Amino acid sequence: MAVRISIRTADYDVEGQMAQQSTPPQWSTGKSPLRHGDVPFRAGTVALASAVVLLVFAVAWMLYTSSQEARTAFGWDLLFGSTWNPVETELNPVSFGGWPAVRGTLLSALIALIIAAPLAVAIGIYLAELCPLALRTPLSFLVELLAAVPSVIYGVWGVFVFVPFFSSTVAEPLSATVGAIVPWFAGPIATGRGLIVTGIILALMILPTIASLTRDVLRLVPNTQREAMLAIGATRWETIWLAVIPYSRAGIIGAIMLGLGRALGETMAATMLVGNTQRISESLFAPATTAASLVANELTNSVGSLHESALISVAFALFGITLFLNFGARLLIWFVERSSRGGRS
Amino acid sequence: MSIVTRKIRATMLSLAIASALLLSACSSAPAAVEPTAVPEVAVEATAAPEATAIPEPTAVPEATATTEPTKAPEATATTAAEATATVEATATMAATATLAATQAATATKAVMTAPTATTAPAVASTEWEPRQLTAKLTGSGASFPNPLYQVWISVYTKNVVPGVQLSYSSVGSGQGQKDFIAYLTDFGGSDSAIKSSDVESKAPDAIHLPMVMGGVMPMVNIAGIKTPLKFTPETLAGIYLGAITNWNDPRLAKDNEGVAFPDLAITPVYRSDSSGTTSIWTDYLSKVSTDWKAKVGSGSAVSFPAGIGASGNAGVSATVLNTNGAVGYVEVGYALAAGFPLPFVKNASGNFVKPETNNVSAAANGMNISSNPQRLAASITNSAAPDAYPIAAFTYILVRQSTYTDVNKAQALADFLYWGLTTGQGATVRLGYAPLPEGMRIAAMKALKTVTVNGAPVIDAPVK
Repeated sequence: MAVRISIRTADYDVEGQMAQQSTPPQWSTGKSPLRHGDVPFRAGTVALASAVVLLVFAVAWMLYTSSQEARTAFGWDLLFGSTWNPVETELNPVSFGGWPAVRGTLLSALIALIIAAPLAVAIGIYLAELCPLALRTPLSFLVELLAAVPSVIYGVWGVFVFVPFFSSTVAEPLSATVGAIVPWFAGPIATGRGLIVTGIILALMILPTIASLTRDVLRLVPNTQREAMLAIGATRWETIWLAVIPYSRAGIIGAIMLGLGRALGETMAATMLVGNTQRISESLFAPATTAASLVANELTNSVGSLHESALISVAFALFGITLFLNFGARLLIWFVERSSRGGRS
Repeated sequence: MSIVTRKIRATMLSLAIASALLLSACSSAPAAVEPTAVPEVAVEATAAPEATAIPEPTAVPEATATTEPTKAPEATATTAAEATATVEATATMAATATLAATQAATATKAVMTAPTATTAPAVASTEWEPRQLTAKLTGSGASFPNPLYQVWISVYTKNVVPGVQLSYSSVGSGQGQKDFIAYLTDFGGSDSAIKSSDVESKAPDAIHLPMVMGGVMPMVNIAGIKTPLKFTPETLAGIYLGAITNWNDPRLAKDNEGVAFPDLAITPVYRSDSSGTTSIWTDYLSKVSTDWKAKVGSGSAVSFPAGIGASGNAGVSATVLNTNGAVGYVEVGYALAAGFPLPFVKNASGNFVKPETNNVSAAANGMNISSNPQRLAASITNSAAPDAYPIAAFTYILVRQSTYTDVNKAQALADFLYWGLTTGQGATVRLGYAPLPEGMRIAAMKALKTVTVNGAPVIDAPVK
């Protein structure tokens, strides 16, 4: 109950953080005398908070310096080259092109997002708005439990249950029919591992993250929004669609972006399911690789310092992609928030 | 609603507390095994000649404490002699194992199966015993010999020299070499030799001690075919190059008369993680196929022209077992443990050979062993010996010839490695590794004896 009351009284923005109030709280102005415990507490929290920021920069700096060797040797080929060959031979020189990995990362995350986002938002809406009260807590609990399942378990389940099922019931018939015309679904299926199964398992993994965040965000929409809508004779659907979702749109986008971040960086399940090959194939059924699984696979026992440096460059690229996407998401949220606060007019 | 939440929280909290209690109970139990109380009981045990060693290898020493004490008085003259030969070790073993089982009262009567006294060939313990030193040694490196090293360490630190603390972390050969070169570890483990340029510039006194051998074999899954298949170098290279794509290829049928191959696509499966297994496999293919050498080459991670990658031996075998028509390469030890049928591979002399341990050991027979202790590392794939399994390799432990500074540490390490080269070899076959052939084992011992601290050799043990 306490939570409810505080929602109504305090001014929350859609992300559930307390909005910047027009007058800052007393203790942050420095005008009121600090009590004896405040100084160390404040110093401590400031130190810890800045440690996080420093950590991000330290990681970025490490990735930057350690990837120097490969970056000077290959330049942008590290990102867009498509040949990855760690071993020099007569016919094939050493080459580190990260495009198969970058492409695999982006595509598998995209597949995951396309599948998971609508499903998860629907789950979130159901849990927050439509679900009977008696079911709400156990269902929410179960959804959150799904988020706590370690990724290796998703991977094992994918390898032993989902992939055999998917390749015999979906992939093989699809590649035999549609695959003849559309290269995206071309065979052969072989082991069944590839981009699409990775994407689907990733979708399962990010589903609970997005769903539970969406639920939280929707629960923070003030009841006055709903009451106003219902008072003018709107149906449940209209209330949700016209008053609740627009109000929390930014938060939902944030939730989806968090899910995307997880999909981009997922290593274990992707390694087990993606097939780990550097050859680029147009077919979504064909094996591929992702940046995270490439680094995890080859870094421990790399062939030489250039190989290691190239792998760190791929990690650096992954770091950059996630940062870029997060930044984009922030921008998007900021933009949406500005245009839609208080519901669609 | 909040009551429900509270209830769930309470349940979870109690669960957490219960599991915490359980965990602490579990972790406190092995604490009792700590060899702190060993000396007293050891004295008691030495006084009782009944304590005998029965040559019956067991990987897990603790399990042996459950043997009935009734057999003790029946100790025959020969076993008694053997027991007295290793009396100190046996006594300590008795003590440790008994403590583990909290049977202190029957300590002297308990019959111990003694892994240390097991090995048939050339047990050097009649003349040499590891010194009871106290030292802390760390090593890191190859994952391929890790199961063996863990058993060695477990037996050695519990039963042979309780004062020494050994740890080996399985981080991969490359990292093991790096750690060793950077002086982060006391010894390194590696499936491949350090690059000669790196040896000169970074680790000029590194010695590669071969410790054990292993083989890599192809495993296949074709529905309906259970007979072990025969492979030639040409067919293996062809499959992994993507030149042989169907099991009904005449090149495969030629070597496997009587096997009705179906019309089924071949899916080659390789290790996606860079590994020593891949090094051995690609080293072999580079030697037997010029095409492979020109296009793919050899290394711990290469650009495979066909197939899909799976992580680890377990990943490869799971992928093969799940895919009709797949072929993958795995370590022989792993395949043996998992119960896969052994295939035949045609060796350099033209014989089809299964990767049995003696055939893997035989791969080292055709080589010339260098008399330079720093040059023991060698590639032995495609060996010329007639009974050799061609896809085999040594795994090495890296030690420093002259730059150890702590005498105590160096002595403890040398003792452990010497023990591994003698007594420890007996554990290899059970774990799926092949023991070193006699010549190589002796060469490794000689190399170990060249390790010095301040000019003085750290180990004086018979080479036998």
